[in-house]
Amino acid sequence: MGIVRRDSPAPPEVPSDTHPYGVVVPSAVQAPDDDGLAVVGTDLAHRYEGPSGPVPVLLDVTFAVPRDGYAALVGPSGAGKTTLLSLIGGLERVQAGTLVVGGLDVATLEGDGLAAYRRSTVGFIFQNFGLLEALTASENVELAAVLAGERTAVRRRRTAELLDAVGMTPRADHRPGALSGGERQRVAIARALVNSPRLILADEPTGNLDADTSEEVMQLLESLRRDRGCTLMVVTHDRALAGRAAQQLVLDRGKITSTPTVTADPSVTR
Amino acid sequence: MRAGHRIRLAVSSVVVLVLAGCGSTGTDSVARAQPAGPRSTYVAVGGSDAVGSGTGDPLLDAWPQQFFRHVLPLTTVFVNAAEPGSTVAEAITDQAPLAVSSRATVVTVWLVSGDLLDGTPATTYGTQLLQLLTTLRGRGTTTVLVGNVPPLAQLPGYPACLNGAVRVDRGFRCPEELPGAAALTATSAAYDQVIAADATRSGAVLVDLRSAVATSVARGGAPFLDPSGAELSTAGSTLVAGAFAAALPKGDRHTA
Amino acid sequence: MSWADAFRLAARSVLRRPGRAALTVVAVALAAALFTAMLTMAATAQGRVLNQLAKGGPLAGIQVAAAAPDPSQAGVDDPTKGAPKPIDQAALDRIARIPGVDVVLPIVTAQSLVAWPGHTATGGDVVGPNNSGSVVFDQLVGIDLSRLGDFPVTLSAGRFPAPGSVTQVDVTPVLLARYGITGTRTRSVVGSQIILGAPRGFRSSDGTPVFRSRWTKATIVGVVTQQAGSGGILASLSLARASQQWTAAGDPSVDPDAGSSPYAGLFVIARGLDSVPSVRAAVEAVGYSTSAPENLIATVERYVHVVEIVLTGIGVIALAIASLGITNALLAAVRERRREIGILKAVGARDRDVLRSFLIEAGVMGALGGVIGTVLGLALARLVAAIVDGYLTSQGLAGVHVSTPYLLGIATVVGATLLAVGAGTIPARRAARLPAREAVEL
Repeated sequence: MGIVRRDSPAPPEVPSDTHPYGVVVPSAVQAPDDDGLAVVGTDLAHRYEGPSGPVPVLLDVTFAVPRDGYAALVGPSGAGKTTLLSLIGGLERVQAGTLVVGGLDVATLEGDGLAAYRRSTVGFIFQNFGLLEALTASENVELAAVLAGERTAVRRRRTAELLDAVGMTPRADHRPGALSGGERQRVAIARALVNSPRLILADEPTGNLDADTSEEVMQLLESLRRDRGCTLMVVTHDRALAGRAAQQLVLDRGKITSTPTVTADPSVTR
Repeated sequence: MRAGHRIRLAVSSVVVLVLAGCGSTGTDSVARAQPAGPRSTYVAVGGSDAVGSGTGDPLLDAWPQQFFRHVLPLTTVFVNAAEPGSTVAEAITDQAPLAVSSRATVVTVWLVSGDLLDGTPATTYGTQLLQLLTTLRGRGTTTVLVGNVPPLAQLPGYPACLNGAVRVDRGFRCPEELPGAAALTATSAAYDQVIAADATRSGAVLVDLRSAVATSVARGGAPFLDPSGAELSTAGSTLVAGAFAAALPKGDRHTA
Repeated sequence: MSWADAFRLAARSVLRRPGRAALTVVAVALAAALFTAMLTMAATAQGRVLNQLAKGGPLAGIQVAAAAPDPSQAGVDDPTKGAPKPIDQAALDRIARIPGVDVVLPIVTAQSLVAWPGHTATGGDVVGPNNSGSVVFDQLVGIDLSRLGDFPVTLSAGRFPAPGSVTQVDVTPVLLARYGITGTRTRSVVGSQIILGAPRGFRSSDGTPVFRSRWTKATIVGVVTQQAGSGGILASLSLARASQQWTAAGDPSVDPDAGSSPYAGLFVIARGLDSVPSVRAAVEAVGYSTSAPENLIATVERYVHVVEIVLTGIGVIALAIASLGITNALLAAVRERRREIGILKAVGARDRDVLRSFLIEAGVMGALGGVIGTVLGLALARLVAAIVDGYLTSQGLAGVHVSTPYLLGIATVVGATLLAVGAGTIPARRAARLPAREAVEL
């Protein structure tokens, strides 16, 4: 069944499908503007072309993350976690199955449409931070808004606000090369949020960070997600990190291997 | 330095380089116009000495040429109206009209040998000279300089006549009966008196060649006449030009 | 992403790797410098050759002589002349009204005694026998000095006389050679004073013929390389007219030059090279012989055009080679920046945003190289021209003058930019096609 916030009004009566895993998949759900988007994947499959032929990476993956949800994708290396996140984030085109994000069939997107989806709907945070070395921290954050065609005054205001929110205002004019790993990840988080996405995808956000910094980054990410009303999906191989999420999707060799677990109070995160 | 500032500095440097390269393309090849000044016209009235007959290079060394070259302003036009052997009477008809039609602003007159050796009486000479000078003075705006008679031994033509010369081209005419030295000396003194008087009456400027030549001779200067004794030598021409130059009023001079 | 933002991003990327960018810019600059220098020198050489053919005057200039045309010489550039025929004001006015005539410039000549104190003439018409050789007969040629560019005269030393001046003249090497002054020594005469005398014939009261001259002082202010008509002295119309009128007023029984043609000739400038044949024909119909290097100029222009084509081709090849350098550099950049491009895509860049960014990078390098190369090329052309100019003037010939070919400079910069953008197209497309997944290094 779908995950419902305790204090939210009853969902509207809409047709729904019952998922084999028992998760109710609302169809044509339109989230309120201030909430995150629901992400529903059905029978997703993906393969890469290897030197000796196609290599399957995902096999019949079906899952559902409710709107405003917080899900962790866990599994060993090579399980297909990053691939699945890439499909959700629009970095890869869907080859087979359906993927509905906030009621939008992502598989139908391509070219500029896919770019617009990446720009406006999704905020992606990379394991290796993904900052452009030629730009300062402030310019990296502003880049996403530049690509969105925002007016200069607006994007600069938003950039300043986000840098302040992640505590990077004093280092705004520094290039990534002059920042620590944690600082870079903060900047990356700010960039991911500059266009006010309703879905945040984080691929091993603490993979290159020490324990203390990891904790800081995750707390920051989670608080921002709460404050702004986003759906958050985090890829991690760290079970402890995965346990912070309201929902865990376990992947192994391209398949969902366990039933998604749901915390008692999905609106509360550690 | 921020990258944006670096970019602007680089672009500005290139622009400055380009503009510096686009400098002026040529030099001014036209001379600046000379300062405008009143044009003066100098006419020489005289005899063979004025055409430089006895000099090494008449067109350069004749005393009016030297006077014109060294003393008068750059914009001066010079017409040499002189005719070899001319007397004052001949100059009135042959040379004065040219000076008048040329609108001369400076005129030099030195006509003594022809009349003196011809035996023209001083009174007649004086009357004719006054007519000549008055004509040349016009309305009084023309500067006229008139030379008197040098000492007899330096009178062009006299030494040649003494030596038996009769006539050299049209340079001079020796009288059939050459007056004696004492008579010529007295006549030349009378000439000087009428020349001075005519100069005063007409407003012309007297050039005392007698004193200038006598002084030069007393100092042992270069011969005043050429070896034939008929014409001025080059040195003599220079002396005469200098004497006329010394008498020229400042306003008519070259001022550079 | 706006063009301004794309430009900023591209500029940052270029400056991030200054060494590689500098090498690429230098390659373009060298090619642009070669292109600019060669074409500038070709244009300068063409101008010098044509100037030499036109003797310093405009290419559409036609010399009209005070002589009737020789019918057997029709169509010849420099025909032999027929019988003398004076040019008066009426004839000048008729010629000025011919269709295709832009302007008619009179030439006045006057016989002149030339007295040069301190110099001795060793040849030619020396006035004698009692003179030392300082005075010669020559001819004064008067032209409108305010229209110097329209006359076939070229300066080799000093300056031209001021328009209207009656105390400044230029002399020719032919006159100077009569005084034994040749080669580089001709420059030393500038500043000398000469005395010019216009002769006039009179008859004395006794019928004796006598010449009286109208003398003027003149300062030599320059040396011109072409014989000024048939004269050795170039002067203003005022000076020449005064001399000519003095002589012409003389007694024709004493001096045959008395009453001569008011104008020794005319210099007619047609509206263009195409008008020259028709204007020449019309002037000859009025009754005067003409000459103009029209056939020679046309031939030379054809050959020079071929040279220009070859030089342009060489320059374009150089730029094309430089463009290959840009392609190579950008392809390497695309390979190195796969992840960076993936990140751009991941944060929302469209394919065309990436394409535009790379094309701007290429264009910036091309434009910068074009500007630097143009400046270098012009400097190189000026340096070569200065060396050639020094050699020519040392030989007593007219030098060369390099103008600033603004259009060529602009064309080089624009051309280099466009070539660079073209060269960057393949790398830019390759970058644009990179998938966003490059950001996550799958």
